[in-house]
Amino acid sequence: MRKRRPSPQAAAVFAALVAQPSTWRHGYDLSRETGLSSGTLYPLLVRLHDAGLLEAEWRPPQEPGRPARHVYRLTKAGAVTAREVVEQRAPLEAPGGLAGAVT
Amino acid sequence: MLAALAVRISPAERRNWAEALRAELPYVPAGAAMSFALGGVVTALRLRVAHPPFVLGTARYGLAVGALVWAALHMRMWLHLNSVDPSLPAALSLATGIVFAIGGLITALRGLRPTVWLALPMLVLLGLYTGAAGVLMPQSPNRAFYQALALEDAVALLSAITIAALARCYAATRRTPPR
Repeated sequence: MRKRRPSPQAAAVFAALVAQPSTWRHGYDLSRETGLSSGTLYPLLVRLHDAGLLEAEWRPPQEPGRPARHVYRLTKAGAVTAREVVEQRAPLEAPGGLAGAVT
Repeated sequence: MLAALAVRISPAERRNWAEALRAELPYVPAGAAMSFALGGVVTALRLRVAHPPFVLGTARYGLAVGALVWAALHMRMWLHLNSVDPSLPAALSLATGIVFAIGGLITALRGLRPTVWLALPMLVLLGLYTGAAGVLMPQSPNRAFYQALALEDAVALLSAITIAALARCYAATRRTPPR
């Protein structure tokens, strides 16, 4: 079966997560790093989680009086997929690549 | 308030994600908090619209209302036709309207599966009627008009079957996600 090509938004999330695959990341940090609004980022995280590519869990707050936070990181399968996506996109985003040619 | 709205809008199985977004808000700088919370509402709406029970419910009650409106139009048409051309095809317009009304009520009460099983034989009957109209009423000046009405009904039924089948397929392919 042919694999679906991930959207640029999904690729951005993969790239952000695979840069530190074992680190748990927060939603706002990912939003800031990828430049995606929360309305785009969170449905994407939900889809990745449903596909078994992302793990999510609640973490107690580091400062008292603040709420617990939801954190995310890639699963093993997610890390493999993310590396593939990032490698596939690298030639497109390189100077002189296709992405550069159309912008 | 927006984050609380997002939690309310989210389907129960996805509420964890809306809660996650709300929990993130205190960590978002004040200048970005409003757009982040608005994004939460967008997320909740997207999760709600993609939720299989919502898709099935929208298709079910949308088709039921559509069938009842279609039935009312048929009744109105019959009242008009009966005054100018009280023939068998005019009576068939009433019969079709009644069938659509029954179909709409059954869809509302029993769901989409009976819609498909009711609409399929009706579609065959309409096809037969459209094809046989030339033989049944060769002299009628309104023959083409009645054929067009039957064709219109067939298109409406085919659309209803397609919508019902797509909604059921969508719901079947989306398993309930883990919390």
